[in-house]
Amino acid sequence: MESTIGETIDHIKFLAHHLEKSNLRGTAIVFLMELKVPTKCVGFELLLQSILLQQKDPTRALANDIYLEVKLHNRQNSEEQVQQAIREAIRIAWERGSRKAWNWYFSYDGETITERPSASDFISRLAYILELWQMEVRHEEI
Amino acid sequence: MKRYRRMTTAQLDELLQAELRKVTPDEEVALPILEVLEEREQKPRRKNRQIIRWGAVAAVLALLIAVVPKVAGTDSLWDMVLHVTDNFLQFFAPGDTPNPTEAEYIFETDNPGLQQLYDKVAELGITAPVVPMWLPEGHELTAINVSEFVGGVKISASFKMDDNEIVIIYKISDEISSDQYERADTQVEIYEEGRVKHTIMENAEKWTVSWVKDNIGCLVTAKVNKADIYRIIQSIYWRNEK
Repeated sequence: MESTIGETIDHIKFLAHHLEKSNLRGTAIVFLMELKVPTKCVGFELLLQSILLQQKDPTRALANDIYLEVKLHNRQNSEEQVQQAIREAIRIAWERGSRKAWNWYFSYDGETITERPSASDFISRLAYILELWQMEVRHEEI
Repeated sequence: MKRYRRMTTAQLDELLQAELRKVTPDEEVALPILEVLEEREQKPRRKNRQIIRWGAVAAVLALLIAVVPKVAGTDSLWDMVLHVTDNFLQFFAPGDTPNPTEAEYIFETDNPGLQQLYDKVAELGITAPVVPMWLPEGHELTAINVSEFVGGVKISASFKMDDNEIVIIYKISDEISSDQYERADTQVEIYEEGRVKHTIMENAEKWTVSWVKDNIGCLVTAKVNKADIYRIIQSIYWRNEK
């Protein structure tokens, strides 16, 4: 199914309308649930925290910065472990996921997504979508 | 999923937001709610498409009526239709089309008392949606009465939970008109649901809702909160999957 940019924006507006405006974490959780990232796997929480940190400050690098903070916060042994858990969560989501949801979040220029994004693309894209959601929420409040 | 479809959008929003506030939200709660919310958002678009479709059909029919008989060498499309239908076993007349709104209505409730009330109403040949499918939890049927009055029949039912009582009354009579259920009181609220106007009044923390459906005068009195009174009314018009 081909997605259009319009559908991505429609979906963001839909989420802005129904989700709690102050609950950024809850919104990011919805993104991951819709993409079928398994909620019970370790990578889910690590992904979530990475997305929230990236959204808060898009200038931060993932390696040696965000992954380091996430590692410390979750008592992981190494950044490598964090990355592995995140990649595994994304891999599972890609295999079981809804193409519709993947197209909502990852379709560029209206093209259907055919390749699984890398962990860094995944995190930065969702952080960006979260930012768009926040802008839409502020727009609704005006 | 069915129980989510019975909830209002505001209730679903509240449930979803509450779920997402948890440390570990359950996707088996959140995702179905999102699905139902999305279905509801898409419905107006589907209705618009239906309107466009029917508009196109009407335009084509108008063209046929105007042009085809001339081409076929007759003055009237009806002569052509009659000739064609001789060769068919059935002719589908407009009057035979079931009302799509009534056809989708199926009474379904978790409250055994409401089921009994529905059965009593149905025994009198009433098939229109007038019986609620939901009452606040704990309200059980304590009495149901059918009595005749001059010109009609009255059904009354009482549901109780502790000291709270919900009374539902139906008066079936050809002399029922909407005038009898209107109030001059300026404190009334008119609430429209299921294309029916319901008059809602509050007195001493008790709500009274009245409306007329066909030849049935309906009355519900209840000591519940306002959200519940709206839900009781909405539940009358819930549509269930066949």
